[in-house]
Amino acid sequence: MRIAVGARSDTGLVRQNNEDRFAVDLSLNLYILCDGMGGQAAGEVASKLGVDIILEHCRQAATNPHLEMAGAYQPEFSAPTNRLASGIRLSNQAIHEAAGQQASTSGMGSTVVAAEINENILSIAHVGDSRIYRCAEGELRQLTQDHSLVMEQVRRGLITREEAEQSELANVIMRALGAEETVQVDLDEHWVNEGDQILLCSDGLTRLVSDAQIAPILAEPWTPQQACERLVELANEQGGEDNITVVLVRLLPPPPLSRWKKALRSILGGNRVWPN
Amino acid sequence: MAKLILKFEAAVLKEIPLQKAAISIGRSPGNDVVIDNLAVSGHHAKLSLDQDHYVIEDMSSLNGTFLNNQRIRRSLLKDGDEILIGKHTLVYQDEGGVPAGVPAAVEKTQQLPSAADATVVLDTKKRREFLAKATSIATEGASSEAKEKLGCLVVLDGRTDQREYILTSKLCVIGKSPMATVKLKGWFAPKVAAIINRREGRYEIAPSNKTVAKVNSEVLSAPRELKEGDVIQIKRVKLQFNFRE
Repeated sequence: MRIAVGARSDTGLVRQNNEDRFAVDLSLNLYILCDGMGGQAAGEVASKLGVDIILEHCRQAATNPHLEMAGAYQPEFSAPTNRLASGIRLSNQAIHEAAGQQASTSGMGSTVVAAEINENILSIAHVGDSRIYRCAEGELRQLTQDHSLVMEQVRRGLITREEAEQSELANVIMRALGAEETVQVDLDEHWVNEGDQILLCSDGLTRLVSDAQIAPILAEPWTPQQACERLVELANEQGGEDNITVVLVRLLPPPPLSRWKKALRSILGGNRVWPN
Repeated sequence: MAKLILKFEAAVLKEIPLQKAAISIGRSPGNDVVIDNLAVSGHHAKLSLDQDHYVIEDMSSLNGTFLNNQRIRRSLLKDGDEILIGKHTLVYQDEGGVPAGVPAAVEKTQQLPSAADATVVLDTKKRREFLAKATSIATEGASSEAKEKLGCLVVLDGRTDQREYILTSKLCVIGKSPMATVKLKGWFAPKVAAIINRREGRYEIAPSNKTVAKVNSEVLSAPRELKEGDVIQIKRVKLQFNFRE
């Protein structure tokens, strides 16, 4: 599948430093985004550790499929999905250990969202309140469930979604990389088609820009990079209270056929699906 | 006056002043304190005034009532006591008591708004371990009850690589593609005909954007849930969907 990617990370208008971090690996079709937390520079350390370790683990696994998995293999998911989970568990260990070593980094942590596309299968994994959206046929859908206290309360029916958005506890998350020795990683798989778009973003975007504002931007005939720039700009226009990071992956239709193939297919006819 | 503070993890959900001699706690709407969570019994526990003290009493609930980490039948309450019901905590506060007895977790939540823009992770490890212990009865009970039934495709007609497929994975692709679980054979078999998604014990079939798959002789144009006995047809291949224990 052909893919076009855009990405942008911005400090925003309020914060001094950018604790978000992302990675794009086009050969693996792997996309990772971490939003770090912790005083001074600790958040940056945590998110960098998170991204680097997951990326490294997946790259090693690409050359050595028998590379040991961290944590239990979940047979209901494909190998790439399990590999993402394994990378995330390793990064959790690393951040947790690093946090315990120095006073300056104690209590640091990070969220993570990771996505990988293999043929038409999208593997996703996440911990925390960063999000992954899928935009298919003009419809924007959030594929991840925030591990935040308020969203947990919404799921339990204790408060409404509107109350959650207004809550002053919106910044409390239930899970994060580095918080504990082990971490529970949410996994999922989706079938994706040409024309679909996958958006990874930190909460600096979604706390200020609503889903209803994101959807039309993705529908514009812009390149993914232009769409990313616009999303960040919009979050800054609406306050820019936190670091804003977006990665947009667009699945492109296959290249046009050569005249020969077209002619051959029209002769043989039928509503057939052809090998490429 | 005494009061109860209803909390979930470290978040304060509600404060309940104790104005009656008897207060019932449970999941049913008729209770004075309603906790809507499956781990809570309909009529789970009650507080009653015994002379000048409140007494907590478990109403033979399924998952028990815990007072300061100990399962109890009936116990006298004192200021600062934590009652655990399901995954919710009720903190008993008696204003006659010493204010120093306010549990640390409450102080923490009160500080949170001051750090409003920084993301905070709940330090819940100890609490969660304890909760896991306390609710293990509930989860065991639930898992045996809601044992997920697996979907299964039986080949009625046509050429495929197996006669039967048990749908254990999250995504199941039907087609000639190397990623397909249900492999179709033949020259003109579609690469991907349909995709079956498993979500919380339910199965949803979605068409691939190009080919013509049918469910019960109707053309599959949008995702739909598979029901027991549905027949999926792709060209000459017919597959019947069934649930299996």
